[in-house]
Amino acid sequence: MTLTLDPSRDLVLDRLLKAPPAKVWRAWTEPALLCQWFCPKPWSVSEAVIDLRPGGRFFTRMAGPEGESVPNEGSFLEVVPERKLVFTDIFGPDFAPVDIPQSGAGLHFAAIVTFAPEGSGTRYRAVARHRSAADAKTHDDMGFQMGWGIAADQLDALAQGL
Amino acid sequence: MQINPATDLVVERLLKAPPALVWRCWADPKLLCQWYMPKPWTLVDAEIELRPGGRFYLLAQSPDGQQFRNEGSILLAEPHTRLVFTDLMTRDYAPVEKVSADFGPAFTAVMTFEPEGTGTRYRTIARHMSMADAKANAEGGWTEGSAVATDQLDALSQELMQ
Repeated sequence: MTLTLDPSRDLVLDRLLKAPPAKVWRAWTEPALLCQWFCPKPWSVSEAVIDLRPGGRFFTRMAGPEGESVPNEGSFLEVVPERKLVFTDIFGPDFAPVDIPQSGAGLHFAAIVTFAPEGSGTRYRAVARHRSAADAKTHDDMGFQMGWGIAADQLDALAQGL
Repeated sequence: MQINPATDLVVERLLKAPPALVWRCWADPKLLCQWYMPKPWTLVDAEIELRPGGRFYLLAQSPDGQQFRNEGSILLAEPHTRLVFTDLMTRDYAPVEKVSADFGPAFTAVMTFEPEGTGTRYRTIARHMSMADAKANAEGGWTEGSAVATDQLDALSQELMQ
């Protein structure tokens, strides 16, 4: 299935990772592994809850170098092992809509993350879909590309070591 | 699934037809058009793409001929068991900017189809982002309208038994 992008509202990160999809998937879906790469250093993830099913809870707590603690509350919408993961802060567990985003981004979005085998590695793509062009710009200005890019490097390094 | 009485509206009924036929009345747009809107309202057009992220489109018509369109998305489609859709997102998880449509405040609907005797324990849960939204839909007649529509669904699915 090809996804039709909306360039005004979607932000895209596209990387070729050296690790194969099975290992990248593990690093994404095992909380102890996710904590090691999900945040660009010197930030880290101190706690993660991953209920890997449609409507399952996806929670991370991000810890900053100055003692900051930022909870991110959301849920998974689609889980296709080693291929696709969709999550959002628009819904909490069991598809209950969330009024005010409980996340560091402070705005509502949905992320479609795909893992496609390419050579011996993984074509890793994350599409962040927003409500409006203004929200997409805010997310972009917050450093979406750099943040998700550094995290993807950390993810690849960790997955290769598995 | 845990119900939140503050933000969830629930309609529950024991239908005479088995889950497979009740499901068909949902999954086939031609059948959906026959029961979804409480008469004298009608549903004149519908598209239901039964996959996570699939399109869920409705065009309803009031007794005086006014038309109201609602563009949403299927989040989960487990045949004969569970169906989830929302108008907080359109196709492929694109978050909507204006979360209050012609049909009232946006919500997520979780339908469950459970075999009971020779029939179906059928439940619709409308999940809202706030108490205010749930109240607006309750006062807008969601519960009464759904009760009438459910009667129509009961009648139509029984016709399919013959």
